[in-house]
Amino acid sequence: MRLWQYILRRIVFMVPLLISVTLMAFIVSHLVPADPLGMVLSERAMNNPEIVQAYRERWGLDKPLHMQYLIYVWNLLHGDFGDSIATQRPILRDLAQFLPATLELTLAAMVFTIFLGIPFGVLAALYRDRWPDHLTRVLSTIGVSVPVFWLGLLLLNALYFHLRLLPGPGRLDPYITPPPTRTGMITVDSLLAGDWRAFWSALRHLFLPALVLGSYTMGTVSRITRSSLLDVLAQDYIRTARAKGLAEWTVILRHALRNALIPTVTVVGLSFGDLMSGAVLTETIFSWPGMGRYAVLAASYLDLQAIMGVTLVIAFTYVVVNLLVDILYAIIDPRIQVGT
Amino acid sequence: MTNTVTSTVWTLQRGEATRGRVRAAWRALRRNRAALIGAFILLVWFFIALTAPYIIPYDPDQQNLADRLQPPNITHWFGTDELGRDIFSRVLYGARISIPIGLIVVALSSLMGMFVGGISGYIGGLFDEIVMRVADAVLAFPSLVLAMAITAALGPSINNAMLAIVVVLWPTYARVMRGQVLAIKSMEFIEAAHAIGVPNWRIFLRHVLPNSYTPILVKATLDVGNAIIIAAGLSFIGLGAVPPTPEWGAMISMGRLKFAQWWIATFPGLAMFTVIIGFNFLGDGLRDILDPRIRRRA
Amino acid sequence: MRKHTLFRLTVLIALFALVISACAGATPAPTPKPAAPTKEPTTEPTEAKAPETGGDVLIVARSLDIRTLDPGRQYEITSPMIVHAAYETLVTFAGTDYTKVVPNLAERWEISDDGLTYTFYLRPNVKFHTGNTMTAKDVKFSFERLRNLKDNPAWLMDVVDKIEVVDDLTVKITLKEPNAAFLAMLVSPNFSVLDSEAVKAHGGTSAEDADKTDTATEWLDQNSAGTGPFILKGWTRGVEVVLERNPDYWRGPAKLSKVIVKDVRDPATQRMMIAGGDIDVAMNLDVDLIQAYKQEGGQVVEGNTMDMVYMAMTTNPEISEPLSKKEARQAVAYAIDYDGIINDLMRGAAIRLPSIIPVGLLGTDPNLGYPHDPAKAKELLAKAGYPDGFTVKMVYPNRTFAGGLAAETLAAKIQADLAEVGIKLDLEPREPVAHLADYRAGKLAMTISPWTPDFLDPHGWAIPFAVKGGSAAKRVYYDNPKASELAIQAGKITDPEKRAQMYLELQKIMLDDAAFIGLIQPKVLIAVRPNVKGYVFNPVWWVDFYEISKE
Repeated sequence: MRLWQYILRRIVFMVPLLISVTLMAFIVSHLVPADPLGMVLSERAMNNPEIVQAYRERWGLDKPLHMQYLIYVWNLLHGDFGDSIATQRPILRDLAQFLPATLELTLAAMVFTIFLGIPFGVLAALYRDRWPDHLTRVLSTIGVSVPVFWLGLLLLNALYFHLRLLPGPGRLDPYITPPPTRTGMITVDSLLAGDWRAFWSALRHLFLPALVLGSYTMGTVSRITRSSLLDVLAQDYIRTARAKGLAEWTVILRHALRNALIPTVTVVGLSFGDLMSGAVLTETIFSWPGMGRYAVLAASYLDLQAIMGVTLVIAFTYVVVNLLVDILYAIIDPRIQVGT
Repeated sequence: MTNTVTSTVWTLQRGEATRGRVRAAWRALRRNRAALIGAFILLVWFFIALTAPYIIPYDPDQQNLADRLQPPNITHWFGTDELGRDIFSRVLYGARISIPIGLIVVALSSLMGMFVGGISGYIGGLFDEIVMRVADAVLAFPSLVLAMAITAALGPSINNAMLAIVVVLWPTYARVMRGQVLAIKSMEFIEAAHAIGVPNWRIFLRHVLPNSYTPILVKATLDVGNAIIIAAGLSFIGLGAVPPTPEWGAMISMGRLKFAQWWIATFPGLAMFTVIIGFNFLGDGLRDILDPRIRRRA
Repeated sequence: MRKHTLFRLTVLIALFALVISACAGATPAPTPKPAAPTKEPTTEPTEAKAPETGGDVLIVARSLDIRTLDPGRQYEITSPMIVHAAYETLVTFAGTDYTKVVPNLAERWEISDDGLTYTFYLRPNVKFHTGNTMTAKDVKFSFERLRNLKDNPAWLMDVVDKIEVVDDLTVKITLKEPNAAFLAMLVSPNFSVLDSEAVKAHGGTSAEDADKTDTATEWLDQNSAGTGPFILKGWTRGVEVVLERNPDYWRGPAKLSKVIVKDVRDPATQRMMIAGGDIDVAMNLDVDLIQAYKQEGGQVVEGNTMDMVYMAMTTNPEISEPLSKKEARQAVAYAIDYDGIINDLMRGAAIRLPSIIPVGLLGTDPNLGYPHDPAKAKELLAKAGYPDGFTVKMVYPNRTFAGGLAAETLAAKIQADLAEVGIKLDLEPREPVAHLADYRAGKLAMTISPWTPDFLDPHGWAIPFAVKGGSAAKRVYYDNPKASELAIQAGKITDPEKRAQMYLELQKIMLDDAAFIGLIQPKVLIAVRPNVKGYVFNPVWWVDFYEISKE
């Protein structure tokens, strides 16, 4: 199949896919008897039928269920996620505020994943069955087994509370005025504003949550790098290269690693979803004002549309990243045909 | 997510499982150190879960405000929490909650996945198309995020969290199963079997199941850990187990804001970590042993 | 081949652009401001040099639940703190005396003999933050907007019939029926006077259909249109609210030049921040952290909230046969160890709530409540026909009450106390929403529940709890004509002494009926750095920043 057909198919499939999920969530949520108005309106307001009626109208709860859903989907198709009961403003605006924080965290975790995970994997492969290999294996198993929210707590307790090496929860030191918002990622914004103090503070705050979040994916990436590098090193052309008398490092970096990285790219791409999942929990621990905390807030208000908004945006990001990975894959390795 | 990659690998290979191979695998398992360690850890935890009510020193829900927030000591090995409950007792008792959650969720989702995937592959056509699209839809989401959305919609409780995790986990099993069924269906001897009147269920039991149990068993073992983590994560953000249930994730959540009282969150987390690492060691070991392609690498 | 690679690259670039633009589209659309150095606050550099908070800048850390800062819509716990700093009301309370209303934007007022008409004479030459002068039409606009937004606090206007502008500085408000609590209600930040011109210019309206047509909230979330001592400079959700001194404030400019309220959730973090000098005030420390802070020589400000936690028991035999007997309910009341709850569970951070009206309001007496007397409880049980006690289910919401008391803990304590007299409690925790739904429907035999004040007048408690069909009374089928009558009458007359008598009498009747039992009224403990002076706790707006100075 040709690449563009494949991309087109993936994109076309995405729409019904996302909509079917909203339908599922919608039906499920209406099986629950709890009324979101009970969370938002006070005792006194609930006794005033006019206020209750106005609220029902405002949140579209006065219409029959199927109409509510059709209106929701119709708006969704026009890029409108509806209004959030929890924050009383358009969900799109909420997402615009909270998504960059999550992306910043996720991308930083990705940096750790790649720049620690791959070297570890390479080391393990080169020193196969010797102590670096065992160490990496143990570390990566720990990485995939340790619950991020627990690891985050332990590290925060040790490095912040007891040793005071790193700053506490939040994105910036409290006495620093946030740089003007442009991308919503404070590290980037402070650089754009030339505010080095804010940048340094933001970076320090980013370090621990990103490391914690990246711990899981680091494990998977180093594992796959190790095994694929071992595969490649056993191939004939590597032997040929060595026979030609090329330096060992040249062989590994020029010939072996390049090919070995192909499966790694896939895993890195797929790990993006894990990172997004983990971000929800990591944000809670580090008081990181991102999508995860927003979703938790929305859940406490039974604010279904906001939760769906978060879910859809994360799913969308995830699908796009996967698509990019597929394309990257096809470019790195021309032998591979996508969509098979 | 790596499981998706490896499971597609498995669907492509057509290993034939024989009794001999099972025995060989058992011998290999005994030689695989990681798997043995994993199995040992799990045995210890299963023992704890089964005997918890008889071995714990205190009632896990018993509050004793005079002894609140005590650091670990002789009478309270893991200290006490904000309500003066004995954390050691709660952690051990928690094994009766988290481990069954993992096992039940994986059992349900693998059975559901195998059933739906098997039928889907067998019938084919529109039904197959729909099932696979639904599976795609579920797989398009990061698992915890989807589980969170479902639990939030249903309302927080352990049962709803488990239901949500089943919804998230079944599609990979369905895919593996469907792949096996499709592969088998096209084989000549099956057509022959059909022709001589062998019933479908026999074909299924004799030929389909034995070919798919390997990847499903390995995946299921690894997934128990996943399920426990997701359930604990949901409890941690308040969407899973509700107090006073001594679920590990909920206990960690309680200790979240108590930096000075590190023991509240540390011990339940440690318990969860060891259980998960047990399942991961065992699962990795099983994979090394049962999957020849990967075994060659390791 | 070459063509292929080119094509792939193009697609890749295009997709990348798509993602970038999706991200860009997601950033706040209205004003992607280019760097505007002139707009940077001038205080920033000085602040930047000193991690210690600046000389006249106050930094407060608190867990914020703000959903909006529009005075016509806000109804959360922490938003009044901000609204009170930027806006003012016609009347207010002086200090911590919540029994008497004093002038504020209104210099004086008259109440007609029938108690229906209130005429307010406004203070002349009071300027809004915009520079406009405050007049009677602003009052009319603000109050009508409050009603017609039909948002959470709109019910406060239920008692009002009409508002008339007599002249620029006189406004006449007519009530539907006499209401002694009306002045106390006017103290609520929801009755803030807004600059009608500024609000209208940003899409605001006070028309009947304001709930559908008013679009000023977004602007009011970031700016203030009030007369208060501080001007709202911005609110970043989940991060902070910034207030700056209003140089033209009519009582003279505040001593603080700037107030920053940081949204910090974790008490432990707040504790570290105040120890490190990053913040001046930490509002969410628990008792342990407060004690540690005090030992280090920190300043701790204490205050009584008007929040309460109470127990409710049904009087309906269909819901619970034993509890429908008055003696049985009284037995429960005698069996509870109230001091134990306050000293052990709250570690002293609460006071005893005598009945259903918080101490500190008109007509309350701290010594009114039941003593802890198990022997008396057993006696009453025998009288009720249950000498060996009975079993009843207590459903409680799965949440933490004000003051950091987990409902679970309180429930367990009550269970243990009642067990001593032979009453067995089956505890059932429920999600707050589910609990509230069943409690409202009158399905619960026994429960514990919180109540937060809407305005500081006993009327706000008497009506829902004492009057038949009141929002709390109907949940336990409470019906005592004498109590009903007293509560209604006390709300109509204006003589405070007489009202106080009536409320005392009402509470005695309700205590005897024992459908509701007061448990605790939490205290607030606030960590304040020693160089901060004039910090006073207020149960509605938490603190008045105008009174604060730094040394």
